Amino acid sequence: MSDERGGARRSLMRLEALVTAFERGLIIVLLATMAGAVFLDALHRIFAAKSGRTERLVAAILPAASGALSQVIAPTLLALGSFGVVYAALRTRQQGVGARKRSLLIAAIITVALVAGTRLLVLGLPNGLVWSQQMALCFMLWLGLTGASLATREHGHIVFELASKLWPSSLKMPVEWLSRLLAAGFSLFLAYLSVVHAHEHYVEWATSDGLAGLFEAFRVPKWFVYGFFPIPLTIMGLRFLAFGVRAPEEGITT
Amino acid sequence: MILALVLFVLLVLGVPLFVVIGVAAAVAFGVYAGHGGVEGLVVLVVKLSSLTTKNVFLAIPFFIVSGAVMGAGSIAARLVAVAEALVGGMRGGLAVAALFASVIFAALSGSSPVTLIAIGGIMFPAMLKAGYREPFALGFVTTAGSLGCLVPPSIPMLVYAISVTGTSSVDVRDLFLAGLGAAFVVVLMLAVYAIFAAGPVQATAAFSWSRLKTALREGAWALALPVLILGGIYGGLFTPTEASAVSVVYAVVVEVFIHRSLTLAQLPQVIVKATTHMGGLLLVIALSLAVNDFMVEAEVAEAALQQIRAWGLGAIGFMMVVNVFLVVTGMFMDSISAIVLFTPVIAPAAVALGIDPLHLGVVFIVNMEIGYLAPPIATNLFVASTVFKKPFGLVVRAVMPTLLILCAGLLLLTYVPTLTVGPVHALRGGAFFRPFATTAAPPPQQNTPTQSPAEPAPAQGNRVMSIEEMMRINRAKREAAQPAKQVEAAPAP
Repeated sequence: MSDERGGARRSLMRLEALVTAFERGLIIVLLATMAGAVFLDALHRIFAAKSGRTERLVAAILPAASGALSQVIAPTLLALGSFGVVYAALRTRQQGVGARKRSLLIAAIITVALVAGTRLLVLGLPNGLVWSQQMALCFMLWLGLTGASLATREHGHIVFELASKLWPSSLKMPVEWLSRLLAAGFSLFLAYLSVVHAHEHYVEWATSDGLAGLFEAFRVPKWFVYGFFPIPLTIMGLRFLAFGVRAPEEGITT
Repeated sequence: MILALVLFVLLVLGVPLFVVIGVAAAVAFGVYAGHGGVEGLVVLVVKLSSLTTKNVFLAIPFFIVSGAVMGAGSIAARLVAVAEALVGGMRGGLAVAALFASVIFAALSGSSPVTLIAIGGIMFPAMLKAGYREPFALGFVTTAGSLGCLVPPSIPMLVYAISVTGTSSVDVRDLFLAGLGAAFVVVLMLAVYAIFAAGPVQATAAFSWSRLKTALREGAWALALPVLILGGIYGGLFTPTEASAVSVVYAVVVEVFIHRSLTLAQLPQVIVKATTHMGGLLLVIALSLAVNDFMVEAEVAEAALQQIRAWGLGAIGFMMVVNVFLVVTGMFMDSISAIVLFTPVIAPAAVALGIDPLHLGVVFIVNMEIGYLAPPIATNLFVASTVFKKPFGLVVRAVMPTLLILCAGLLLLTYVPTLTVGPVHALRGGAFFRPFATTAAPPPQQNTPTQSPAEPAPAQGNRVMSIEEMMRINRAKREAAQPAKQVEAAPAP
C-alpha cells in the first residue's frame, strides 16, 4: 500500500517537474517575443520617420545641406555613430594583441548588418508592428500568470510578514495548512471564474462568425487569450496544496 | 465590519496577499454591492483581462527583467569602481561612493534588497578595511540600498501611476522627473551626513585622472543605460513602455555579449526568477483594481474626504497623518501592495485638498523607502543582518541615524513641493516655485473647455484613467438615469 502511494507520489513529482520545465520554456519564449516585438516597433517608428532627428540636426547646422544632401549626410552620420558604438563595445569585450584590427573588421561587418537590418525592417513592414504592444500586453498576462504559478512552487508570493512570527511553534503547522487550503481554494475559484469569463467571450465570437470579440490591433479572439488563464490558476491551486504557502526555513516542515 | 474581520483573519493566518485582496473584493462585491453569484464575481477576472488595455503596465515586467539581468551581471562592481575613483579620495569618500553606486545600481535593478546585496556586499567590507566604524558603515550601506525606488525607472512609481485616483491622472514621465528632484535632495542630505559623521578614517587612494578614466571606460556601458532610458523618454525618442523593452535588450546585450559576465545558458534562470516575482505582483495589482472598482461604486473616497473635512485637518495636517500612516504601513507591508491598496483612498482626498498628485506620489514613495528600513519588519534590515552576518539588533541601531535623516528629508519633501514638482512645471513652461496647498481648494478640472466635465477624455498613451474620472462618469450616468426613472415612474396623465 505504502509502495503504491510512494509510486503515485513519484509520478506526480515527475509530472510536476515536467510542467515546471514547460512553464520555464514558455516564460522565455513569451518574454523574448514581447521584448523583441516592442523593441522592433520602436526601432521601426524611429527609422521610418520621413525626417529624422539627425536630418533635422544636419539641416540646423548646415542650412545649405537641405533636401537630398541632408538625406545623404544624416544616414552616413548615423552609420558612423553605429560603427563607433559597436567598435567601443568590441574593444570593451576584446583586449590584447591584435584586438584593435579584429574589432575594426568585426565592427564594420556588424554595422553593415545593422544598417541592412533596419532598412529591411522599414521596407519590409511599411506599417510597422502596430499590434506589438497589444500582443505584448496579452502575452504579459500569460507570462504573469505562469510566473505566479511558479512563484507558488518557490514560496514567492507576497505574504503579511509578521504573520509567521505571530503563532507559537505548536500552531504553525495547522495554520500553514489552513493557509494552503484557503490559497488553493481561492486560486481554483479564480480558475473557475476564468472559464466562465472566457466562455462569455467565446459565445460573443462564435455568434458573430468570428467578426466580434477580437482585440483591436492584435486580431486574435479574446477567448483564446483569456482561455489560457484557468491553466496556470489551476496549477497554482494544486501547488499551494503540494508545496504550501511559506518556505520550510520559516519554521514550517511539511 | 464583516470585511475588516475577514481581512484581519486572513492576514494573521499568513495567507498570500493576492488571496486577501481577492477575498476582500469578492466580499465587497458580494455582500455590500449585491453582486454576489458567479456573474457578479467574474469582475475579479475581468480586472485581470482589463490590464490588456493599460500600456504602461507593460513597462513593469520589462524593467523587472532588465534589472534582474543587470543584478546578476557585473554592473555593480563597475559602478562601485567609478564611484570610488570619483569621490573615494575625499573625507567620507568611500561612504559617498557607496551612496552614489547604490543609487545608480538601484535605479537600474529596481530592487532595494538586490542593491544591498550587490553594492553593500562590496562596500561594507571595503569601508571596514578603510577604518570606518562598523555601525556607521552598516547603517549607511543598508540605507543607501533603499534609495532606488525614487530614481527612474522605478517600479513603485509605475504602480502609483496606475493606481492613482486623483482628479488628474499622472503621466509616468512627469512622475519620474519629480522623483529625480526628490532623490537629489535625499542623496545630498545623506552625502553631507557621510562627510561629517564618517570620523577619522584613512583615505583610500588619492584622486587620479588615470584611475577615473579606467573606471569610466570599464563602467561606461552601465552608466550609459540611465542616459539612454531617460534621454530616450524625455527626448521624445520613445515612450516609457518602449524604453522598458529597450532596457531589456540593452541589458542582455551588455551583460552577455560585452561584459561577458553572464552566459546565454544562465540567462533563462535569471529571467524565470524575475518573472516569478512579477507574477505575484500581477495578481495583487489586478485584484486591487477590483477593490478600486468597488470603492468607486461605494464612493469610499468621497466619504473619506468628507470625514477629513469634518475633522478640519487641512492640507498640512492631512499630509502629516498620511506620512505617519504610510510609514507605519511600510513597516508591515511591501511597498507595491501598500501603493495599490491605499492610493485609491488617499489620492482623491489629497487632490481635493489642493495637493498635486505628482507630489503625493513622490511622498508616497519616500514613505515606502523609510518602510524598507523601519523596524520591526523591514526587508532591508533582514537582508543586511543575513548578508553581513550581524545581529538584527545591531542593524536596527545602526540605521537609526540615517533613518532620522530620511524622516527629515520626508518632511522637507512633503512641505516643499517645489523640490519635486518644480522641475516638471518648469519644463512645461510654468513657474518653478510651487507653494504648498494650505487651503482646501476644489480640485482643478483638467478637461478641455469643449469637453463636458462628466465625460473626461478617454485614457491615451501612458495616461491611465483615474478613479476620480470613473467616479465622474458613474455619477453622470446615474444622474442621466435618474430623470428617465422618474419619467417611467410618473403616472400617465
